[in-house]
Amino acid sequence: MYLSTNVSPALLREAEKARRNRLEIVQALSHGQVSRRELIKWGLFTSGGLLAFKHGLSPFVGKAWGSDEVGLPPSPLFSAKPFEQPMERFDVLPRLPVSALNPLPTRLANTTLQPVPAALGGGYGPIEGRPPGEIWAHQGFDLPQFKPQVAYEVTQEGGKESNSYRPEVPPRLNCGIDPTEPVEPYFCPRMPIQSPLKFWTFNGTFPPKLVLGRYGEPILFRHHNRLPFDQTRNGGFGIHTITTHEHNGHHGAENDGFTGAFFFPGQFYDYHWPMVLAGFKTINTGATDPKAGSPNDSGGITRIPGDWRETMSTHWFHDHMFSFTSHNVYKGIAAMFNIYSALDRGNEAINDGVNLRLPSGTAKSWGNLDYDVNLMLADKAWDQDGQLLFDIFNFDGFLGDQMTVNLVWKPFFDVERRKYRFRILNGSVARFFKLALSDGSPMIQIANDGNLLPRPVVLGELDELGIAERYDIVIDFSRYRNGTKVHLVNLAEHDNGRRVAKDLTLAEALSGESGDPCVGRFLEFRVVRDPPQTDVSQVPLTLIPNPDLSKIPVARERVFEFGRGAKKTTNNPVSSFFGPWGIGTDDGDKLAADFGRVSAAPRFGTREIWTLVNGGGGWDHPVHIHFEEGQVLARDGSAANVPPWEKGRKDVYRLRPGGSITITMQFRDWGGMFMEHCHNTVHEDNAMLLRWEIDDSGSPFLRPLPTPIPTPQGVTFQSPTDVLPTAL
Amino acid sequence: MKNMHRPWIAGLLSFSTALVVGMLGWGSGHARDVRPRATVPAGPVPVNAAPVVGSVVAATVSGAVSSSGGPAEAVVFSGQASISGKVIHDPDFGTPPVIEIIVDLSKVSGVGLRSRKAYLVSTQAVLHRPLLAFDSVEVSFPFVAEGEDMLRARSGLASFGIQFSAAGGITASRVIITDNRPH
Repeated sequence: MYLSTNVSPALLREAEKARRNRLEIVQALSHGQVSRRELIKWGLFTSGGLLAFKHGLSPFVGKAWGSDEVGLPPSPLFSAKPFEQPMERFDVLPRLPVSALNPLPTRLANTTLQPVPAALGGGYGPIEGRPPGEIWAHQGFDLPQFKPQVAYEVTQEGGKESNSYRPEVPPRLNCGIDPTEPVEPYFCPRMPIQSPLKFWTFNGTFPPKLVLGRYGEPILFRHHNRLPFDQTRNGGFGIHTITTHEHNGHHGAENDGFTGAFFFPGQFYDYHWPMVLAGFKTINTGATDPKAGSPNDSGGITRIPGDWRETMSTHWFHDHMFSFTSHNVYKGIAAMFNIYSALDRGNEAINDGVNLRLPSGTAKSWGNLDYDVNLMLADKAWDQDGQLLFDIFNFDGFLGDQMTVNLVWKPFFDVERRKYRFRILNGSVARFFKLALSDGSPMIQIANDGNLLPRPVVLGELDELGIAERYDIVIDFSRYRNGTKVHLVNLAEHDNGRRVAKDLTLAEALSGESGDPCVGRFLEFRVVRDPPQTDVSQVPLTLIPNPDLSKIPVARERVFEFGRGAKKTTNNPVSSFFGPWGIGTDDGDKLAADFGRVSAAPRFGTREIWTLVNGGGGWDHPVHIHFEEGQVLARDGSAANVPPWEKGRKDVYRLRPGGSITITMQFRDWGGMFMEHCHNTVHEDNAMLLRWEIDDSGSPFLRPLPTPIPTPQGVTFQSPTDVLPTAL
Repeated sequence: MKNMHRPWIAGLLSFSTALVVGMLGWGSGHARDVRPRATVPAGPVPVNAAPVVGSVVAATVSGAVSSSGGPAEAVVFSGQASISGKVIHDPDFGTPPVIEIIVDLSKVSGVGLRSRKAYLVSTQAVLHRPLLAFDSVEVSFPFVAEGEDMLRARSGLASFGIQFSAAGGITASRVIITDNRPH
């Protein structure tokens, strides 16, 4: 997709001109000056989803001087060299007492009125964007076990200098970075500072943010939208309305970041994360099982109800704005969330027969990050001025040409000669990764998505990592001598955003011959010293076995087919969207997204089996189902096809080209409206997303649920635009 | 130069009303015709909506990983690899088919040349590559002495060829084990 840096200046100028022309369309779309429907009518977006092959617009039109293709101009590097810049570790958000929030959080949405700026229509609107009324009230909020005990308060705003970096590790474990020094919003010190209109991060700062939470300690996450009131002040892409999905929290739907429950600049939204083990209403209700617990501040365990086999570890949270998720996540609305438990304590020394003692540290009773490192991988691109660039010239999926880790371009990271845990998140828009160490050394995969596996899996190269998937791995650097440099290498070569074109061998990836600039080495581990203390961490042979669902009857089976050729059968201007991608449910037509449509409504307290089918061989889809973890029963119809690293619980299911995957899930504890969608966020935005809901657990829920329609002046409700015949 | 750049979108907005309104549809054309329809299954049912052709072949494994110094002894490997190949076509875009290769080395074992210890291999790898008449494939795999901590796993390289023909389907050559030294 990207031109080589060696092509002629004339070709680069032509490519840049075509890109600018396309960006004007993207900008007009994001400013609301033109709709996608109009672009289709005008023949710019074709029925195949591609931007029309017009000279001066498409990057792939033959040139007058005989070149076959133009391609995209490569992102300039401003003389930066790979592996010269340290990788900053995540910035840990401070824990606050709930009493520090003003106003105090409320069970029902806070509808206190405030003036609405003229840019948003004027008049008055509520200070909180959460839909009002009982259906969107925080479930269980007034019960003592769910009452928020800790608060996080964040803003969403344009990129700016940070003067409050909190890595929560000493500088020696963070490449010597002095956290008192300001952190500028750039990918690399040699590259330009990003405009506040280009980067919209949590608190407006770099590095990406990290929440440390623990089971049994409910969280109130207050999110202020401080993006520009003027929709056109977006740097050419992105939209200033947001909704935050805690991926994949087992929370009530009012806290799930439903795509249609977005809020406006000037408003906040209180998300209540009750931090429960799934099954708390029916399993271990007396909280007697020591494995079902929360780490307390003295190194012990506070027991909690629920199924300990549902313990989760590595989450992330990100924007889920309807039809603009790809833009907004790419602009920086993405963070990670480590969840600590009796089993996964974040302290490698506590030996109580429950703690798994995974690599972490020992200084704190829980949540040590010394040897437990979050890595957010994301491909990016920037323009000739070094400013972040997004290009939706087709609906296959956007690919950047530069690799970043924790928003740093091709960094290095100092390590000691001992075991480290890395929580790896694919935070890209459409790119899959396949990871290996440059010397081919084994890695131990201990978790897939949020969940520790039943057993660790030793691998020479990891499986493809789809967008939003997380793999936790352990690398033992004691095998290396001090002074060694070993790299994390990407083997997955793309030539478009539809799927991986080729999984390269390690030798191929290291050869430098791939046309995909994101293939090859992208993170350098520098083995710098022996650890000051003995490494007492472990990788036990048994981690977290799966919950046994065999005795729970299967209430229903459903089939969802993900493919092209979606129909648009509803026309609500807010809830429906049009695009080439869609989802067919239970042998029905493939439908374009409409968050007003109910596609499935499993009964509260039941288990179902869902088969997710890839409707084509030319693409892959990492499909995310919100709310509760699933277990993979089969691939292509056979349990024997499920690889060892997918034998735990998951929340993102890669279909593989032409493949299918069969999973089982329970629908319990909480209710409301959730989503299922492709996490190639360009596919999701155009319009491979559906709504499902748990709506039969009694008052205040209705069957089906009314759809929220947010405006700056308040949220209204409408009846569903459609309820599929097999939904209920 | 800057003034000469006429915004595309401004031009489009000005003449848009003169354009004929087309049919709104993202039809994928022939793809629907060739795919079996998904149905609600009575149980976990294999459903492949895209045309696929698959087969599993067994391949003999042989070769050795040399000593890397210190206590790491040379290990000789033998056994059977299971190599599954699935050809996936793309009628929607008409792009060349790909092959999904699943390599399972769990029935391969090694013997330490010095200690005579048994070494276990339990890896799988899933690869997607363009379908070629012949392709050389390499997979890094870990191995560890029986009873030893997995943290002491070393890695070797399994190399083999995949052949495909319309008449003969998928075949795989013998799997050769060698040192994994990509640097």
